[in-house]
Amino acid sequence: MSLVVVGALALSIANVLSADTLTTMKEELDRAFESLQSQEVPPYFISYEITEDVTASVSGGFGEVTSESSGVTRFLDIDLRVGDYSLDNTHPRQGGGFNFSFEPPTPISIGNEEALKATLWYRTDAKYKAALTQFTNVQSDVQSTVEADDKSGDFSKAPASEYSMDRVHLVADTSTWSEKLRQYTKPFAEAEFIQDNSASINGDVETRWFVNTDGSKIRVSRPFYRMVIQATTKADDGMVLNLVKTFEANSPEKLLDDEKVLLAVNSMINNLEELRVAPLVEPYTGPAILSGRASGVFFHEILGHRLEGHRQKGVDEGQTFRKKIGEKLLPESFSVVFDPNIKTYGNIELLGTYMYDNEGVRGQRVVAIENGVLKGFLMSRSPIEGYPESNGHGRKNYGNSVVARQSNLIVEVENAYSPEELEALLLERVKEQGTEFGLYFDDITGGFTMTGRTMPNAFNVTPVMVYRLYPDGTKELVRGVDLIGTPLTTFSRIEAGATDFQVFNGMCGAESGWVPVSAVSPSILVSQIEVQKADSSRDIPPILPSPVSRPGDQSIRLFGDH
Amino acid sequence: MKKVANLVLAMLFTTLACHVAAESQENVLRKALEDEMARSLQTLQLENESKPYFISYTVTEVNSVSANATLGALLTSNSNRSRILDVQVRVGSPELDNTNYSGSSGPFNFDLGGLMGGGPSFPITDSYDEIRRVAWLATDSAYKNAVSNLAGKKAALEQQNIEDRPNDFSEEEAFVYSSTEHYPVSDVELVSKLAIDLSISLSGMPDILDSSATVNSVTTKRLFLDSQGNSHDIEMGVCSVATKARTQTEEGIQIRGNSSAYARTCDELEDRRLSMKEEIVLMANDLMFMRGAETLECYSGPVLFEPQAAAQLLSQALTGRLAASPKPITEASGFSLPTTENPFQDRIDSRVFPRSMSVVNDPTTKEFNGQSLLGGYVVDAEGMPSRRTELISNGILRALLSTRAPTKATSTSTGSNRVGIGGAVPGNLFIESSDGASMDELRSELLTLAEENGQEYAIVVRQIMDVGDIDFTDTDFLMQTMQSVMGGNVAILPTVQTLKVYPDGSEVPVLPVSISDFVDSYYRDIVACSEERQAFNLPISPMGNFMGMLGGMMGGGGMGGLVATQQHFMSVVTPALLFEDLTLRSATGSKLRPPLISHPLAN
Repeated sequence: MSLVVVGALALSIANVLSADTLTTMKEELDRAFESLQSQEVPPYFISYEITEDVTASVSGGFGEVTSESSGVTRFLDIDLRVGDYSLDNTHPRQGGGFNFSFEPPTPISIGNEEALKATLWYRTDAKYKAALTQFTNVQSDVQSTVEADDKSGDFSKAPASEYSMDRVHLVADTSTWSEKLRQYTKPFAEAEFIQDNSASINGDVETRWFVNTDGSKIRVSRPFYRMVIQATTKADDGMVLNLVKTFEANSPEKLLDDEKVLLAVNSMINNLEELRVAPLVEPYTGPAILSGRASGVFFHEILGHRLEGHRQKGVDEGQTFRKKIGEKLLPESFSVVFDPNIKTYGNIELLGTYMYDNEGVRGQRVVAIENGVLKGFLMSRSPIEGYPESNGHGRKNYGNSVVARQSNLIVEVENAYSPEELEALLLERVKEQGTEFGLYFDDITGGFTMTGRTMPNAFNVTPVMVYRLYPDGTKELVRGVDLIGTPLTTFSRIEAGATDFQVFNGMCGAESGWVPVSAVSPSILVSQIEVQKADSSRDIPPILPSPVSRPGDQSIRLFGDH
Repeated sequence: MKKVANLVLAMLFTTLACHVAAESQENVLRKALEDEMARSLQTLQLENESKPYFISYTVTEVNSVSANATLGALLTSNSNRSRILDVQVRVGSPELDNTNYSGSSGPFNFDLGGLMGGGPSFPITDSYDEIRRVAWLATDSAYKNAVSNLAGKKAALEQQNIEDRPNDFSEEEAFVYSSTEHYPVSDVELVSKLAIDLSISLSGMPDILDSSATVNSVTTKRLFLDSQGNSHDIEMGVCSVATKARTQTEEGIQIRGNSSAYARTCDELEDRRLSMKEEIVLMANDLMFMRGAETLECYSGPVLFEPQAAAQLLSQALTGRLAASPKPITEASGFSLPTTENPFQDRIDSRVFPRSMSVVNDPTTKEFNGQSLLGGYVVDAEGMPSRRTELISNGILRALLSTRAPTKATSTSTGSNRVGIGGAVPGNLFIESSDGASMDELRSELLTLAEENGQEYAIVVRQIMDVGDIDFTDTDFLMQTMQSVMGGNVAILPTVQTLKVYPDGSEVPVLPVSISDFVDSYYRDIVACSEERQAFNLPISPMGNFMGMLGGMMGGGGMGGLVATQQHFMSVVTPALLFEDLTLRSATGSKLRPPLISHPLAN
């Protein structure tokens, strides 16, 4: 199977036929909008967004390829609003009404005018009828429930934008990718204690066409190449230990850097070997250092999600920071900004970069915390009191409705310590608090946080490489630990930051789907954190030894030793 | 000393290299699986537990290519190549082993992994070491599960008084088969072009709300080995085209049209491109004709199923009844919905059809009247050879289709485990009648019966929805379909083309209806069949499994019926069937407002 040909076909069709896609979309948008103005309750706003993904992927593990795939998808999203900016059909219902509106993504072509217009026409008509029903329910709900605390409207005005970026082509030499994948995963096959290994190399060019009745016409296109390598071992007590390493770049050449990848692979193998025999952690409270990557995830989960604008007015939301504008949340030396315009940090591509958000608003730098004081929120076109406009953070994956989401989170620290100084400070806290050791969180795979009211407003971050730091300077790797806590208490205990910035790139899942995000942060010292034992499998290791002879196995050693 | 060691190592590597080269010639995949199977049979054992008495490995390589287009433009396309390993391990003995046990979860405990194409990832190149490594871990996991299930099953049996429990595994003669048939992997460019070209057929029609043409090509290679000497190595290919269109009546009822074509390869369909386009246009014309159709709220009386509708009816309602499946052992105290067995298992040697009718399953047949039968196959997923089975003879139920899981009605396999999960499924089902009439005579008989009932008209069903026609993205329609099948004893999808026929010969189209409260005894009330028989290939889709499960819970035997994936088809060769008395109810769903915006082509 020639995947390269597959990609080429997809691109050739797209290139030939898509030249006027924006114009055709705008024509049909204007026709539908005008036509519906004669209705008793006409729409006051419509937008169309088409998201195309041209993809190729190779997967495998242990030096072998297990699957190859490629594809092209295009989906349509329509935002159609009836009512007005202050109250429309998208208004969240408070009276317990349940809007079951599961709607699978609508495939759409950009191939020819008739096909494109026909789909836009039919789906707009259906969307309008659904919006009328929603609006009737909303009006009834508003009359039967108490007035909301936040009296901001449902939609904000935004300037029209016109921008057309050249479409990017997917470069997918899958034969080379397969070779690289074999090369990168072969070392796992040679380490007997590795129980599972998988890896994938994915290429995805996402192109978005966006038009709205404000006059915006936008086409943006972005390549995204990602490699994920995962390996698992099992401790003698049955605990499964899993490490994941991801690489991101905007070209395959940058992604497939042999030296860098093989170094990371060797590091994973060594770390897993050490983890297997590392002691288990007991529940602990005390001082800790979070490395740059770990603190990036920590800030993303604990701070970032609570700064998303819509969470400040949702009646089911915890609204942690709603009334805290102007209050000090972090040490004075800390600032936190979100900036979708920064493309790289050092030589690392940032995943949370974009020009325009999914509402056609230019992505803007947002200073959320300045010198420790809360200054603002991440805003989509859903306004909140005091923040009437979008700052270009309305994001979603296709098939979902936009909400405010994070972009590139950057933690800035003044008067930062060197990593050695930060470690010395940790040991001082250990002595002061009388604990036996401090913890150092070196790497984290991800985490989750709950921002609502019905569940504890807590977070759980999943570290994978955690060390005990003893006062005599020794380090001891431990396993089986989850970092837990509540946001306000934890923030009050952040003390200092270092100069060693690291980048965490990942995909963030929330109510508007999966979106790419980044977090850039230095190591930070937290005077007190809490950890709990991680969930663990109790399955016993395989009954029989591996059937595969590997370097270092007894069968080979016999000859070498004699 | 070091030189000697190096020399020994060099000799060793030379020997290894030769060994590997020889192995690649005689099939590395098979050799690696055989070696791991032999090791596991000899040494895989937990303390105080028995070793496996049976192991099978199935490696399925799937190359799929699909494209979806509308009005001459591509919507989506994708291609995928992967391999999946399925491992079956049995501990205990054929009389009592770990299988056919569903713990405390009752009928919901089925092999979802198998249904969804799950299983460990497997290298797509034949690497001896990696194949053994994957097989080692999968066998280890399957063995541990088997030991646990056997213990649970024994505990459950101790609490229950189950009489005449059949064995768990049948004894069969070993069967070895290697196919020489080869199915090339389709080119995504050609598949895309075909989809685009077919979809053009529906352009320029403003009354069609939306439409699409999907071409799906699946090429499957399967290697099967078990510890009893069964093995096969086969290739299968299916290329399908599904064209769908939707329109709306003036009253606001949405109606759908479908046109499907199936073949072993996309090249065969490519050769039929012109005729397929003609059929799509015919489908569109029928759909326009149906816009003027009447709503039939409720009808009780004679119904004539033309051959296509008869094939669809039988594939949905009868196939589950023709499959024997053992009643799973569940924990006596656990949560379990009531499971009823296929009632046909208690009706062997009883009359279930009219005396003039017989039903035969014959997967060994490749064609009927020049038409290719896609339900044909040589060997099933358990390595058993397919065979001709007389199921109903002169109206009397003589046998049921079976897998290697014995039941109270069957002791050996009929080679009918088509998919590897869920039970027996027919291949080619032949419905035969000894006193068939011409279609004109059948219509005359239909009208006579209606007249005797005091009815002005009778009903002819021309087409029923196929399980493969269900559009999972059309949520309104999905809900409507679910509602229409929920009420019946067995799950039959709504009709697509239905006609009122009057004594003067006139025909009036009727909007979709569902066959209400269909029960097994209705087969005995088939009053006439046509002389002419036609063959239809019908996909067995995942929705078929769901319908089968639904039918199993409601009427029994469903789990053994419609099971499968897109790669599997059954063929039904059937005459038209005239039922004396059926109840039909409207299945049109709610009336929607017509489009408020004019079609872009309308101006």
